[in-house]
Amino acid sequence: MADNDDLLDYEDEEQTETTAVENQEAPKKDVKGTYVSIHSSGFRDFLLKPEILRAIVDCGFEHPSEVQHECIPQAVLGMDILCQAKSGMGKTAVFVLATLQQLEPSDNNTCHVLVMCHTRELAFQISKEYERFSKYMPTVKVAVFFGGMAIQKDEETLKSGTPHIVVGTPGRILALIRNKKLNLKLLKHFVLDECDKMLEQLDMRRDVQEIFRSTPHGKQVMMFSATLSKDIRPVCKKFMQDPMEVYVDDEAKLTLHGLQQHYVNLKENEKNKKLFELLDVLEFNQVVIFVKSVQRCVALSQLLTEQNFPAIGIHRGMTQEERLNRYQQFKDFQKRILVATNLFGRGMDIERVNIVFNYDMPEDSDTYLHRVARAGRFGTKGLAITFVSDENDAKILNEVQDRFDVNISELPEEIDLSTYIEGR
Amino acid sequence: MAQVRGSCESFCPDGEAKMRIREKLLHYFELKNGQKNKPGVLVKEFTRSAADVKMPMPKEMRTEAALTKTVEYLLKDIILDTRKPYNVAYDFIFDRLRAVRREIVIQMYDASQKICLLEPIVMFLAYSRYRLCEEPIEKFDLKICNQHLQECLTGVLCCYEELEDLESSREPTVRELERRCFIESLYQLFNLGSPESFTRALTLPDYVRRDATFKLCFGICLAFQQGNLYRVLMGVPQLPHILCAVAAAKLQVIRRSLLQIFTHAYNNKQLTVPVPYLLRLLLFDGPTGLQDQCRHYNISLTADRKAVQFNKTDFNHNAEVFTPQHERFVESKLKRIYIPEVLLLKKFN
Repeated sequence: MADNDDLLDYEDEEQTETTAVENQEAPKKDVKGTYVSIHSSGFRDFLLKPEILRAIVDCGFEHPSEVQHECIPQAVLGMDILCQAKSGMGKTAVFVLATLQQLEPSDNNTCHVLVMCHTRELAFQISKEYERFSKYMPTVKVAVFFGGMAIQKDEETLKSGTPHIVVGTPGRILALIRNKKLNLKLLKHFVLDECDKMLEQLDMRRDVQEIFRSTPHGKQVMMFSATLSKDIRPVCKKFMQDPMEVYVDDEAKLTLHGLQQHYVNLKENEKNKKLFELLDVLEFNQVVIFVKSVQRCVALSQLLTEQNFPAIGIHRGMTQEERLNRYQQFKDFQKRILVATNLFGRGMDIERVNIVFNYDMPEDSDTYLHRVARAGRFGTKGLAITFVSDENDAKILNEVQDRFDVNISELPEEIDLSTYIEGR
Repeated sequence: MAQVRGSCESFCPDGEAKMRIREKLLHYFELKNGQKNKPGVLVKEFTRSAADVKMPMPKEMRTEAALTKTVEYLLKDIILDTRKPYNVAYDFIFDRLRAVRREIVIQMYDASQKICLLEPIVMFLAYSRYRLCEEPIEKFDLKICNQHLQECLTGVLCCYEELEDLESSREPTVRELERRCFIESLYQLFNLGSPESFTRALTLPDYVRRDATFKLCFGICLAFQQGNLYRVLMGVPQLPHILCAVAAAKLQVIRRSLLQIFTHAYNNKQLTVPVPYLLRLLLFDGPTGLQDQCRHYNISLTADRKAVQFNKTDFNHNAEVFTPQHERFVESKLKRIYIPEVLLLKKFN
């Protein structure tokens, strides 16, 4: 009897000790979490080519972001990458730098890198990223191909010489392959940016698969997105061999530090008045206003222009020339308000955007995340305002708050400027 | 590949100034006497690089002398401007200093040039981190501040090493050595508990390790590594101003650890531990702080609230660490100093 009592005491004590030890681990991790190694002094540690390092310096980049630090060392060694990371934290630079590092530009008339994404503007932007990072690599040739422009022009470009790096949308790339104008038989790097978007739509996925089959087996495959659900990950991995996988399993970490998020309750017919009030009251560098359809985009941008706001619209219904022209106008700060559909909601990087309006509620939480991430990029400040006009809107907003553990509060009467404008 | 050299000698290049005045993009601290849209002294703002943005021209970047004056202006005049709450000044200064850092990179300054510009930035971030630690996240984002502080610290430490490796470099001045000792001390405290920063402390040059302030910091770090939290707590109030503020950010973690240890060390159903003893040990100003902690971690107080009953099974392991707060012993030190002097590293005690 006495022996049994002693044993019980012993077990109790041991269990408590174990619990204590387990819990002590957590605070230590917290301490380590804020620590960045002294030796990660910059991009130099990646042992990149001097001409690439020089281009990085010209951009004024001080330090690699977390995702860059995690992925670039593996990517430059040719490892397949499946990467989820916050919007605006430099995923594009991972594949741009990794592929430029591995490129042998002495190879002429051979396409070694293919990058695909789901919108033409994003393809255009990625090609510009390649241009700026390869500015000291004069022999590197980059071309961008997307629909909405005459295919003859693309075919002529390819006839005069195969670029080393091709950026495009799946539809146009596939058309060029089928017409035997684009040869990918010696491809070494296959990249999908915003891959979940491309692989979840069956028609686009089919295009991607057909393109993939026209490339060699041993190439490097890299895929990136800020939203990689558990359902889409196995689909992505089917294209890969033993990839390095980087996920943000705590979805609360997907929202951006520095981004303030608010909502406004109002009726549908009160939206315009409220929007005009806010545009008058808020000080902004540039604003993106998201709407749900082409018609609403046309109507709202016209209305804003009539009210003397410096607004411009961009949507699927425009010709490609017009789309690019307006994109460039907004980027060059000629207009400060952009009215856009979800076409503009993923990957677009305009460095002066610090306010996003969800004039119409996004259809799901993924779309919400991508839209609001047009502001607050690279650790700068931003503000997102969502109009809530019915029960369904409120339901989606609650889904967003639950999923990302973010507090989207009602827009206060008098908003503190310093919370969303950097240095203002 | 000639490096580009800035030629602008003012705080803000002409082109940017004209654009921002035209577009009415002036910060409150750039207005003349706070009058809306009346430009006063403009300071070049941070714009991050993006695809399709042109390389800045020499006239769009400031000379080294201009950058130095900009840093001094921000940490001498703006930081003392109390017309708005400090978080507003912080955001402005943070953004403008970030623009300075970007130009340091683009102009490819050498180690000694970088050190002069980065050291005050480290000091500003460390000071602000303490001063704004009680603000909600919409007013002050601690994560961003921590990230930038760490990046600036590692940047300046790498420059120290670079200079040491450089055989042709001149002998550093006494002032420069003092600055390094202070920054190395700050690095140790900011990364308290990290084996990598601690390892660095063991391999620093003799003149750093012999510095009185650094010795005190190292002693605190060693005690922390050894688990001697008592000695850590006794050492913290002895630190000079900014270092004391940096260390104070770790206090809540230490308090939690110590209280948890006490639930085992003083585990007893009859005997209690007197409150005054715990107040002195845990660096509390008064009983309220201790009571809040006990309530939070589910530690019992006696009915008369004069003693604490420690019981090892009671401690709430799921309770989160308290957020850092202002501490009286830090506040009294900060009151006695002239902030610009300290942030610009002209005074150390």
